Formats: sequence, structure tokens, C-alpha cells
Amino acid sequence: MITEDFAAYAARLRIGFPSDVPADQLQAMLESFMSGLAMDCLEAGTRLIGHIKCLVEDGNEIIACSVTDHDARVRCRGRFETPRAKVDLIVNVLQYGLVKKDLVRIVAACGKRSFTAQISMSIEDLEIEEKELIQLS
Amino acid sequence: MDMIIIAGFLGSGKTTLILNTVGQITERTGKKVAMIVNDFGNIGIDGKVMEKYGLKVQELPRGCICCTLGPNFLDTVRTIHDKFDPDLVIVEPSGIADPDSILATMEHYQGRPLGKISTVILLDAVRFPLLVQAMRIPMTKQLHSADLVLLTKTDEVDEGRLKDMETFVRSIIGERPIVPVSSTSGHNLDVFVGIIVGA
Repeated sequence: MITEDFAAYAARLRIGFPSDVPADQLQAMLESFMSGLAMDCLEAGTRLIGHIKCLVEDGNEIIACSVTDHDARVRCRGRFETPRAKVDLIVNVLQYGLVKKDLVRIVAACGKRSFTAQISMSIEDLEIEEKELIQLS
Repeated sequence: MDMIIIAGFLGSGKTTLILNTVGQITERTGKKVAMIVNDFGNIGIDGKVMEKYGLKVQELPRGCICCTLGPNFLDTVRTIHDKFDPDLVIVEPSGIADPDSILATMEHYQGRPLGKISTVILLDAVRFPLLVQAMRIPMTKQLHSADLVLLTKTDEVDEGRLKDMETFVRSIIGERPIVPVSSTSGHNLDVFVGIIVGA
């Protein structure tokens, strides 16, 4: 259902931490990131969340999280099982009301806020052919 | 080769439904099933999740098979048909796809003749009031193309919601079947499988 106010953003976030972060903390950060995206979108003027979903894949582990409701509830399939010093995640934000530029800003701000104690975060736009890297700290 | 298009609005539970029922379909019928998944962005999340859970998936990322990816979709169907010769191909379009356009695209299919093409539309019971308010016209259009409608996430709503939904959907699709399901609790998944395999 594409309407005039539909906009979407797909990105890959690579987040680095100074040392291994316990699995339960990573899980809490990921869920905070996902619910934060939904809340920030709604606050910025999204009239309808279509689907906000993410995937973390590393070896045998896979965590897929999703938000569809306006209460920003996060549903996850799989959980972090081992501590890690880096997280590589793909996120898709599909919504009605905001333009892509807003979504790019929200993903960057929310990533920075949710993954606390990070030492690096790069964001790659997965919709464009020429990869554009936004390097944050 | 039959084709089932499992469509529905973004977040209506298409991927979860497929993950929870493909095993039953193959167990009950012995049919060889292939998957085509169309997702947003050039790395598809849904296809990767399905592969992780053991399904062989052909992904069509970046774009929508109901519009920009139409020719790629036809090529993919023909390749799967010729190379793997499955009994059934399940198509999961992205949640923004118009199933009517997919059916129209399939009219241009030039491979070996296909069997039956069916469309299943999923309707999210949790967000139903919001979707009716925000997406009434496109949602109605999507429902028009349904051979079967699934009211999803029934474990999270009450009977009153399901009755309201059934009244709304019935006014659009007439006597075609409507099945309330929950992929989380397993509610009516066997009924859904029974209908699509013709049991």
C-alpha cells in the first residue's frame, strides 16, 4: 500500500564498543533502539507505523526484532547469547507521514542514544547503489 | 506448479505465518515447496530469517514485485519452475504490494503453464481499528483480491474485535473464507493449511 506520504529507510549500522558487552545488556540496547525508533517517529509526525524491523546476524546467532504497534512494543525472535564488542545490524523503517530525510536522522540519533558506551557507529544506506557511509564518532 | 501469494499490510504477520506453516504443508502433502520473498532494501530481512529457520528462499530485494520488480519476478518464477520444479511456490510480497498487480504481472508469464494461483490476505487484528481509519481504501482494494482472508494475532484481541473484523471483511469479500489465526499460539494454523492444500 503505497500512498503519497509513504517513506522507508533501510540501513546497516555497525556499532563498536570498547570491550565485550554482556548479552543481556546488548539485548536491552537493541530493544531500546527499536522502541525508540517507533516513539521518535511518532513524536516527529508519523501517522502510521507500517513496520520497523531489524536483523542482527553473526555466525549461528540471529536476532530479528519488530515493532508494528503505536505503543512501540518490541517483539523479538532470538536473543543475544554471547557477549560482543561489536554489533552489525540491518534496520528497515517503513512508515507513513515522515520523509526519508527524517528517518535517516531518527535512526542515527536513536542509534547513538540506545547503544550506550559505544566507541564507533557507522551507518550505511542500503537503498542506494553507491554506498554512502555516515561515520559517527 | 501452484502458486500461493501471501500478502497483507506491513507487519501483518506474513513471515511468521509462513515460518510456522511451511513444515505442516510439506508434512501433510509431501509437496515440494519453494519460496519467493520480496522485501524492502537491498538486504532482505524476511528472507534471511526464513533461511535461518531452514527454508530455501529466493529473494527479490530492493523494490516491489507489484511494480518495479515485475520482470524480475517473472524471471524468478520461471527459473524456480524450470530448475527446481516444485509442486508449490509461496510468494511473500512486501507489505506495500498490491496483490492485484502481482496477478496482473503473472498474466505475462511465459514459462511452462502454471496450476492454480491463490491469494491469501492477512489482516492484523491488533491494528485493525487504526488500519481501517488510516488505510481504508487500499486495504479494501487488497481484500478484494483475496481467495482467503486470515485475521492474524487473534491471541492478542477479544472476540468482539474479531466479530467487527469479520463483518467488515465479509462486506468486501462475500462468502469467501475468513479464518482467525494466531502464529504465536498456533490457533487455526491447521485450518489454514487444510484450506490451502485442499484437504
